Amino acid sequence: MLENQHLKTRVYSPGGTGDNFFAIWRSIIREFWLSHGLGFRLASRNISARYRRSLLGFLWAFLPPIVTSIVWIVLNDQKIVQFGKTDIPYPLFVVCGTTLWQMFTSAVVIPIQTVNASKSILSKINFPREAILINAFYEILFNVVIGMIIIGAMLIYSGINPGFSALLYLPLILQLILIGFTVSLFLLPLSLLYSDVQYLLPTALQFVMYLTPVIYPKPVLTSFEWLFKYNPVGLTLQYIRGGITNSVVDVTTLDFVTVGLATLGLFVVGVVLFRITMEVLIERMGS
Amino acid sequence: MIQNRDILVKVQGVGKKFSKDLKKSLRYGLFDVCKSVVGLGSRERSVLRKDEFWAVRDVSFELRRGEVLGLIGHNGAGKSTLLKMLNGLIRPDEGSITMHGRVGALIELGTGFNPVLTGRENIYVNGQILGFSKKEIDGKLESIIDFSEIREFIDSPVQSYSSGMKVRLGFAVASQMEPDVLILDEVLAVGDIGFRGKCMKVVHEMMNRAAVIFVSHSMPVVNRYCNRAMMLAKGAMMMDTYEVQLAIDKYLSSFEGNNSNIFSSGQVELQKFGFNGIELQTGKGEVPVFDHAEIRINLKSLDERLSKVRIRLNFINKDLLIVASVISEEIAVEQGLINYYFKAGPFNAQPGMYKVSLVVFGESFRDALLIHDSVYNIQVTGEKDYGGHVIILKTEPIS
Repeated sequence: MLENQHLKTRVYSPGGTGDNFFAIWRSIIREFWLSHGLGFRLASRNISARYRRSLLGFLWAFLPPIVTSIVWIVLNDQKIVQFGKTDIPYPLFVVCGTTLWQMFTSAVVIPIQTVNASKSILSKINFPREAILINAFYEILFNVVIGMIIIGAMLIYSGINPGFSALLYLPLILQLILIGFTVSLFLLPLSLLYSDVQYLLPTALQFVMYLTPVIYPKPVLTSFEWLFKYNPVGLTLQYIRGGITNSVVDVTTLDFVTVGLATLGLFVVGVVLFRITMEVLIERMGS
Repeated sequence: MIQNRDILVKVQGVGKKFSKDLKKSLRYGLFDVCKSVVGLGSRERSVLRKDEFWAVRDVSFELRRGEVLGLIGHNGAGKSTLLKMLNGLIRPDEGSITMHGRVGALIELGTGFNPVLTGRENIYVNGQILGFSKKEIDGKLESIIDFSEIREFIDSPVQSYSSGMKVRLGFAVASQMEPDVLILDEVLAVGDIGFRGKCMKVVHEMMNRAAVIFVSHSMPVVNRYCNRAMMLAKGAMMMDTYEVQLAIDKYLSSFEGNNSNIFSSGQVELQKFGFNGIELQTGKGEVPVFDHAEIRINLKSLDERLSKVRIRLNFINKDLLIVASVISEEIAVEQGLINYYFKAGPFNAQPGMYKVSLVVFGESFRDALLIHDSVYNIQVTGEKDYGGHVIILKTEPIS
């Protein structure tokens, strides 16, 4: 049997660990590494359980973005709503837009949902809390893959060959996810205390969608131009859409990279926030 | 079996406060979150804010490998809060807890089971939550399924399982843990008798290698498995002792006074109950193990038509089982008074607290005129453990 000295020792006291930012990050990275398998397992559990009770199964993953797109395609086609001229056929434009947008919203919603759904295990079992974030990440990734399939199918259907350069843009979708995830991380502590966040979120996201060039091209010369100029989601979404459909957008690579770096910085802070606040929140969760 | 007796758990002056009001609790939570982000977490933690109370306070103890600590106390005494702190789920507001080695908690079995997934899939999920890797579970899968005894249904969704089957599966996974510190919360009172025995065997094996903290409301179980007991009341430590029986008695006697139910038809009234010369209407007396006691009961008849009664005394142990019973001959009512004096013994019982209940019958055993649920408490004193639970009391009348 092991001697006491060889055993892992943990101390729980009011003061917290007293670690600085970098020490916390070092331990977060370690936890991420250790709990990766668990996070993946939880995600595959959630995904397979979600569709197991349905007849159409995984088809449900494809339907929402397709239906939303069809609505806008019909509205635009029947001239009920009139958007500006797009560089690519409108159906392709709107399918790419809504699909990318839904990747973003899932990155905002899924972490909050997952943590809230995991309240019971969080308050009963001591396991690395980071596993829940990994769980959320894989579920988002699942949505991203579904979205890519839809976009790919739409490109083929539209008869547009964007060339190999388009493939290089696919990894950039991660930046869209990163923005959503970061927003989610900052909303998480509040969402665990007050259910207002979860009530408000769908409406708020819808509102932001209309302020983002998702279903319409970026308007030229309106009094709201500044809104489009500084909307990080809009900039990222347009840049990626332009890239994978090989069309022209007036978002520069510099804009894109700036948004990316700023988000990365906030994400790093957000993960630490998650680590610090989680233990205060768990005791308020009840069980 | 026990090769070293290191201190594995060290709890020093631990306290935890909660808020009674939900809205305030959430607001305080928000403050706490903000404070911990800015790094002011530790200040003013020992001060109660409005509507807060201490769920646990000033609890200190050390636990060594091989010790099995029974944690007892009323509902809401702070047992579960203490367990949650030991398990690292919530952080104490005061004091500190040091845990050495792997901590295993059997708290709610099958937490995290997804109803739609099959038993087999849930074994993997549950196992990984408990800290096993996928590879480890691959290796243990067969023994887990064997242990759970539900191989036939292992590929059915868990929602079709009975609650007993879910618990079996949960325990089967948890039984694979090899903790240095084991935390048990009322988990053993589940499943059918065969499975419970199996669980106890596994837990017993874990107990030999670990320091155990064990919460239970079942005193026989505490008595049987624990070699140390701690009683909590309103968050405070009332008793911490290696004499498990002492803590159990204290716990049981804390219920006195609030469970003495009296049923009366209005025909008879209890006047005095004397035990070894101490005449108290209700009270507590002591008798050394193997000794005899003199019991004197005085009743008053309130009904002139009543001519004779029979009296029955039941001796009830801490598990609410009747361990001995005394039934009188017919006793005549003389001038409205009924006296029943006798000597009973020997009290060759397990030392501990026994409750005496009194029943007065009229003409037949069907009509009880008076029932006193708990008329007296007898403390049988002596060294621990004299074997059986049943006492055969002999009685002889005295004047």
